[in-house]
Amino acid sequence: MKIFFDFLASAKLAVWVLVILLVLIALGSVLPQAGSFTPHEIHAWQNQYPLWAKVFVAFEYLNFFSIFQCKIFFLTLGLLFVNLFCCTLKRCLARKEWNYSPFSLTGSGWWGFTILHVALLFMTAGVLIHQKYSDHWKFLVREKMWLEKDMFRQAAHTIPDLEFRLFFHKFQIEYQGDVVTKRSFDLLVQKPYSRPWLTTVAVNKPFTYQGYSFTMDDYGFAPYFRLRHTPSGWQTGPHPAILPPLEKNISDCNIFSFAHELQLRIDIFPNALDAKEGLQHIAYEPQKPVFMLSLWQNKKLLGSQLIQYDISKRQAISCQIGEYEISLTRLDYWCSFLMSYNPMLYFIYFSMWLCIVGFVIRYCRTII
Amino acid sequence: MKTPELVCFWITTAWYLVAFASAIFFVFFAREKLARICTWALRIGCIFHVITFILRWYYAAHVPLSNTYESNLSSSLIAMFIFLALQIIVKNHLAQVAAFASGIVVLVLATGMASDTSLKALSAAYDSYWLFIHVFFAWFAFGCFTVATAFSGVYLTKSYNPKAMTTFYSLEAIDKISYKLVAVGVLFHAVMIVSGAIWAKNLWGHYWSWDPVETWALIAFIGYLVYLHIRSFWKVFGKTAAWMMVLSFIFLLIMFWGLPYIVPNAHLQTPMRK
Repeated sequence: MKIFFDFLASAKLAVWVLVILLVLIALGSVLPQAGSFTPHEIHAWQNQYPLWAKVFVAFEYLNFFSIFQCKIFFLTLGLLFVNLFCCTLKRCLARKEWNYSPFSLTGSGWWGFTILHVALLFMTAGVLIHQKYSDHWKFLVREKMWLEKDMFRQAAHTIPDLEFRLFFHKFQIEYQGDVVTKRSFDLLVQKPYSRPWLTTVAVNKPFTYQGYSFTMDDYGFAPYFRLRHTPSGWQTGPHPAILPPLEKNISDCNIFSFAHELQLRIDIFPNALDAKEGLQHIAYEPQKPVFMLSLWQNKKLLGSQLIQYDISKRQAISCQIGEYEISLTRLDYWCSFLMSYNPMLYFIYFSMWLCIVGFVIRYCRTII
Repeated sequence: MKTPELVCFWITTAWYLVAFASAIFFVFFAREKLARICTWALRIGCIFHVITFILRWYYAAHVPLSNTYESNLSSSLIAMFIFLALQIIVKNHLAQVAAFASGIVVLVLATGMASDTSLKALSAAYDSYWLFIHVFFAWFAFGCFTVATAFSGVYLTKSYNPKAMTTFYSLEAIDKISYKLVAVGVLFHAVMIVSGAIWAKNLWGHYWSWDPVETWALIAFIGYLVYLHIRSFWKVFGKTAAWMMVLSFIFLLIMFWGLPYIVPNAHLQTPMRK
């Protein structure tokens, strides 16, 4: 029993567990992880390196393509927890019959060691519980939009029934040159039989309500387009496109299909100067995004037009492609809104800081 | 980048190169004069480094930390501060260590210069006091680890070639100094990880998202923890410990200057999610 306990409490085990953890984490950062890659991409990756196919099969068997959720990773963390527990216990409990010398590290060394390892125990336990019970959900929200029970449920079945609903308004973006220096929106939280609560959510300033935290994430433009066939007067209702912000040096598009095999493609150009020939005459300004509208019928291009929308004026603009008139009726912003449930979060933070305190006490003499 | 800053930057680099050259000559010829030249070159270089840092801060109107150039400028300055402070504490020119330290600092500055040096406003993502805590402690940790690795380099050179650097500290003393520096570095690195986790929660909604840079920061941290454990409990000193430190420093270099160029990630030098 003593030998087994000594082994579990040993620094040798600690070092080996740390080395295994190090290797697993390094593998996790090198191998494509299921969280960020699709199975198809992993398959393509395997095809790209056929010589390693057997290794990949073994990795797949061990679930290394989702390493941070695999059993081996959790087992290693569990073993670390046991090791921390035993080595702390060994130094905390004086057992004469076991011949331990709990004060082999004296004074600040003993206190530091104990605080550091107890904090690490807390942290590992907190992380394991958090990993098991935490959850997060992402929503794409637009200005003047309600987020309520049905939409929560539609977005993810794992969301429990929430009694409150959220209203988003006053999306604000401040620029300095082409850099976004401030981004925020007002959020109204409405709960039956209680007064509504108004708050502002900004980048780096999330808010917490009923155990859930709400974070502002990515954002972009949400222009509304209307298509009208001039001779017949046939028209479509305004369609909201979801396009990325100008700062990202990419162009993205939304495609809308209508009757008569008609397709409207809307591209946004982050920097008109870099985009395509013929765009050079348009000055790049974050407040004046440039959209390229292409109209296709039966997979044949009817024509393309560039329009530049002035956000400060907020006036509808339109252009003509063949027999069709395309109008940009209004421009809003969209934002991805992250809602998360993080049990034990503050406990993890507390234990992290406690680790640092323990480390300072443990090593203050060594350092000085 | 404006002209006064550019001029100061090149003067800084030139003085560090003088320090590097004299330190290298000192290693071979062991002349006291060369060690003194090295120390003074480093001190003058450091003064111009501080001026460059202040000018950058003034022109950019924010703490220089928003891109690769600014990050490298600041981190190398802190590494140099730590080295010069150590010189004063131990009352020694440490010219052999300066050869490693100034070499690394010049490389870091050169990498920064090769990247985008344009002045930009601080984006909304960086507008958090946790960022300053996170980045400053990252730089302090990097400074400590850089100097500690320089000592390990000297240790390894001396242990493989006992005739080299005979005027320098004994192997035992070098080992002890680098151990102390690692202890301080691990402490700063821990504060960096904790503050980064809190900042990440506010910014991305997750305190830990296995971002490649985050992951390699943890790998380097575990590497140094292994080093501390094998030293404290297994009483492993000497070459093994020195190699362990060099390995951990490689992890650190991968984190700071390897991954941001290889893997797309929402960290450090790559543009942050706005």
